[in-house]
Amino acid sequence: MKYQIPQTVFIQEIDSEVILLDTQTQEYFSLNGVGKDIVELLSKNLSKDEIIEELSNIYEVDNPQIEKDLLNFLKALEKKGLIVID
Amino acid sequence: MNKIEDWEGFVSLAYSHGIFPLVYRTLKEYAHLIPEYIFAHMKQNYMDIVKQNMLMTSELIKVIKILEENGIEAISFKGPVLSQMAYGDVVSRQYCDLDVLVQKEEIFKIENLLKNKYKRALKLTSSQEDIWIKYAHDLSLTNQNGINIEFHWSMFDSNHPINLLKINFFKHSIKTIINNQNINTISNEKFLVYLCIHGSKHLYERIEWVCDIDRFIKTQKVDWDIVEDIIKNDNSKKFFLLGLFLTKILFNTDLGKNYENHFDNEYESIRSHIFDTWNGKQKSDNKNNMKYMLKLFVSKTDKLKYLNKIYFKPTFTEYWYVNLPKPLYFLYYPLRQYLLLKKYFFNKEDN
Repeated sequence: MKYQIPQTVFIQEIDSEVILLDTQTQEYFSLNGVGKDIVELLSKNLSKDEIIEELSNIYEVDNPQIEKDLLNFLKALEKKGLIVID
Repeated sequence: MNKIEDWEGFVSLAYSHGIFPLVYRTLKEYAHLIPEYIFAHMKQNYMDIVKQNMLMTSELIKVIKILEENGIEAISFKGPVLSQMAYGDVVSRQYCDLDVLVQKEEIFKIENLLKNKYKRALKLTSSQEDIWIKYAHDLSLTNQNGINIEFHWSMFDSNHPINLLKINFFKHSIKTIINNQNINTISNEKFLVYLCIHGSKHLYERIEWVCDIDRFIKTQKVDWDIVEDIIKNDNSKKFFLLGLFLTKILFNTDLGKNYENHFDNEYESIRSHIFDTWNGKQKSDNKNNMKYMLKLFVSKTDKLKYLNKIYFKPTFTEYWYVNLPKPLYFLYYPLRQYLLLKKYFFNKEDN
C-alpha cells in the first residue's frame, strides 16, 4: 500500500514546521515534530513499512505502536485530502 | 543589535526593501535580543508572506498548466521562479505579483481562457484598447483573492531606449522545478542580464534586487562568455554593469574574469547616490535619480529618447485620463505636462 501526496497539495518546510496548502480548497495545515517527519517520508514515496522502519530508527519506539499511530495519522491526512492511497 | 532603538522602523525598512524573509530568518536565532512583541509580529509577518507566496505559486502552476494545455508558450520569470532558483524555495523573497512572458498575439486568447477566474483591473473603451495595446507591454489580470498575474509580451517598455527587444527570451529556455512541477523559465544568462537591467532601471530602490543578483550568480551556473555575447554591443551594457558593481561591493560576488575589473568612477558615484537613498539621505524619485540615470546611457540619442519618454511623450496614463477623439490626440502632449506638474508640484504642496 502506497501513500501519495497529490500534486494539488503544496508543501513548504519552514524551520521546525512543514506547511501544507491544499490548492483546491486553499486551506493551510501546519505540522511539526513527528507529523513533519511523516510528511517528509511521504514525499519520498516510501511504502508504509518503509516509513515505519524510518520512524522507528528516529524515535526508538516499537514498530507496532508506530504502525498504529501512523495509520491514524494517515487516515486524518486522507480525510483532509492531503494524501491519496494507492 | 543592541544599537537598534526603533525596531518597528527597522522591520518596516526590511519590508520596504523586499528582504524581510531573509532578515527574519537571520535574526530568529537572536530572538532573545529582540523585544518580545516585535519578534511575535515579525514571526506573524513572515508566516503571512510564506502563506501568500505558497498561494501565489500554486496559482502560477495552475495558470501555466492551462496555457500549456492550450498550446500557449509561456515563460515564467521573477516571483516564485526566481525565489526557487536563487534562494532554494518560494518563500525567501517578497513578491506581490506573478510575471509570465508570452507572445503578443496570444494575449486575448489567454484573457479568454482565464476569464472565469481572472479579470482586468481597468475597463477600457475600444479606442483606449487600441492605445493600450500600442503602449503597454503587459496584460495585468487579477483573481478574486487579489492575486495579480502580468502577462508580458516584452520584458521592458519598447518606448524606453533600454528595452532588450533584440533578445529572444523564448530561445534556450530552461526548466525549474517547483513543488515537483516543471516550470519553463529563461536561460540563466538572459535571466542575469534581465535582473541587472531591471534593477538598474529603478536605480535599485530595493536592496532585494541586488540580493537577487548575488544569489543568482552564486547558485546558478552562469556562462560569462554567453553573457558577454548578449551584452557586449548593446546599449544596455552600463545598466547591466551597474548591477554587477553593486553586488560586488555589497556581497563580494565572484563576477568571473570578464567583469572583475570593469568599473570606472562613474559607477562609484551612482553607487554612492543609491546608498544615500537607502540611508534616507536622499529620496529615490525621478527628480533626484535623473542625473545618475542619465550616466547609464551610452549615447546622447538614448539620453534624449529617455528624457522625451519621461517628460514629453504621452503615455497610456494620459489616454486613460481623458478619452479624446483622434483629431485631438495632439492635446495629450500638454496634458502630459499638466499631469506631471500636478504629480510633482501640486500634490507635493497639498502634502
